[in-house]
Amino acid sequence: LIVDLNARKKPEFRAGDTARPGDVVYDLTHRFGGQPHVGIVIKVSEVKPGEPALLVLSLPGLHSDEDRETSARTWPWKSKPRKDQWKADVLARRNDIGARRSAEVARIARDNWGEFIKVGSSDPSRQWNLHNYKRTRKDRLGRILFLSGTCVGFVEHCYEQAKLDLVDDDDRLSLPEVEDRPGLVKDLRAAIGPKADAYLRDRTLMSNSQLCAFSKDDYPHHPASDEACHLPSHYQKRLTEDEIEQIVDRVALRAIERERRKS
Amino acid sequence: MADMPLSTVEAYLEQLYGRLDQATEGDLDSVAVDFINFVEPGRRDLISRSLPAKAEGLVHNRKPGAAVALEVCGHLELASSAPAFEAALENRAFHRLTQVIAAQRVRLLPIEDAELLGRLGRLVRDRVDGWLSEDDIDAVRCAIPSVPLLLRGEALPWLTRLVKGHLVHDDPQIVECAARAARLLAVNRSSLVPDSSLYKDCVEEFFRVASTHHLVRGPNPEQRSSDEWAAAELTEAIGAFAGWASSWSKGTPDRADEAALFLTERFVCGSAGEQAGATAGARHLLEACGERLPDVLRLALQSLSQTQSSKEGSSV
Repeated sequence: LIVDLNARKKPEFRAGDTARPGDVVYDLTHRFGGQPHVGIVIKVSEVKPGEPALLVLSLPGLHSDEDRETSARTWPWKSKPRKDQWKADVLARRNDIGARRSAEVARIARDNWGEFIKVGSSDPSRQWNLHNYKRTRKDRLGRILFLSGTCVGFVEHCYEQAKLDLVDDDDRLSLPEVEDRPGLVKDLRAAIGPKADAYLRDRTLMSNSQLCAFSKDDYPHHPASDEACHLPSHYQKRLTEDEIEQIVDRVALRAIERERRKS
Repeated sequence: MADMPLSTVEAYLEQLYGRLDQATEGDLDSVAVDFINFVEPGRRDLISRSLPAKAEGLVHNRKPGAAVALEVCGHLELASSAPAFEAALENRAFHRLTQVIAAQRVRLLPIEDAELLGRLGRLVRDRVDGWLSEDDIDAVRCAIPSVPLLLRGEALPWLTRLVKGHLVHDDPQIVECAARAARLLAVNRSSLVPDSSLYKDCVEEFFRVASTHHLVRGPNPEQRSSDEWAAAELTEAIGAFAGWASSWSKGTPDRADEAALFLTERFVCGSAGEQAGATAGARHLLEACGERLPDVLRLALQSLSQTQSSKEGSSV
């Protein structure tokens, strides 16, 4: 089940907006290479009186946008965020599980929180994590803990540990190569320049594949069938505020140029 | 890199060591990324010969690169790097990131020597106490799980104090971390020696505190997100401790009945997180002493360990 948090009517929800711990939330507004940023809902809370937000545990995205809060911790995600916050656009939920199983996912996420690698996570655009999007290790108690990776790798790990696999990523060859996604290649090159070429042959889990799994209620979802997924049409392409600003600037510049030529 | 001849790989490793020597706090991230990527393709043997000594040298010379060296030593589970970890934890004036990584990764080292484990455990415990007084929650969160893994039963009084102290005051995040660490200790029963006085002094206190106090909502969103999870950890820990005590005491300890009742009550009245904790706690208790519990409680625990909750999400 996916729920468009921007839609005026949210038929999938009962009265009002509801969310529960363990749900997954996507920011489709600030995408990197067409891939939304993603995290796990820990709690629904009011950041300030009358200002509800989803408290979301997420790993840094691949975004090179350093303005946004990107360290691995719980942040408020809102439908009307400040400039430095993530936007809660889509809420995704496995409809085949109850609130308790879902809460187990959130507990696993919190259990892993103290294990993250503390060095390298603020490297520009975190592109190195594409190489190994889900780096885990078994501890002495037999728990499999998440050390580093991408935001989508972390969500996948937490669901797998709760025995609720979302995307079938066991066979690495079934995952797309970075160079199969022109948008991702373009954004990577913009973020890190020619160093991006070293990552083109890496295979990585795309957050859109996970979104497809929720959208089709198909678990574990096979990434090869992503093409058949239909997300709400307005998510196919949404301009960010910066993009709109750039377009406005370009139009304004052209108008000024025209005026200059006339004069 | 994977197909490179050994001499080239060795030369690259030397180059990485050079970068560790020169690294400042500002460029630590890029060295770390290159080093961690270098370690991946199975070069353990090559690195394990030289890295522990390198790490120790960096720690003694107070180089920021020590943080990366310790991270990689932990990642490769190099027990021979224990002196470097010990030196990093001993020196309180050392660069914070190095100390955090030392406290976080020391639990990965396969150390058998009980004396060394005890020394390292006490050093981490002291560092956590220091970070608690500085309100450095991020460091505390990374370090707390190391204490029970290194100190085993010796960690229990300290964890109980943390739970008790922070529950009554203001910080559910610390309660959550400490309760989780205590729970892991109880679940991994081989790490606790059967000891009725330890049970009486710590576990009963833990139980009493957990079942009588209510968590206080913290002042910021991150803290507020922790209260439910602290309660969940406490709930599971109670089941795990009662199970641990039952596993070595002959009869059913009184607390097992009480714990079963507490878990059932939390499952019915608690939040989704507490339900998840109650379910896991019920599993521990059933596993340890299911057949010795009164029929009513056993049946109640069995049904809650199997039932899916019908509760839906909370309203925004």
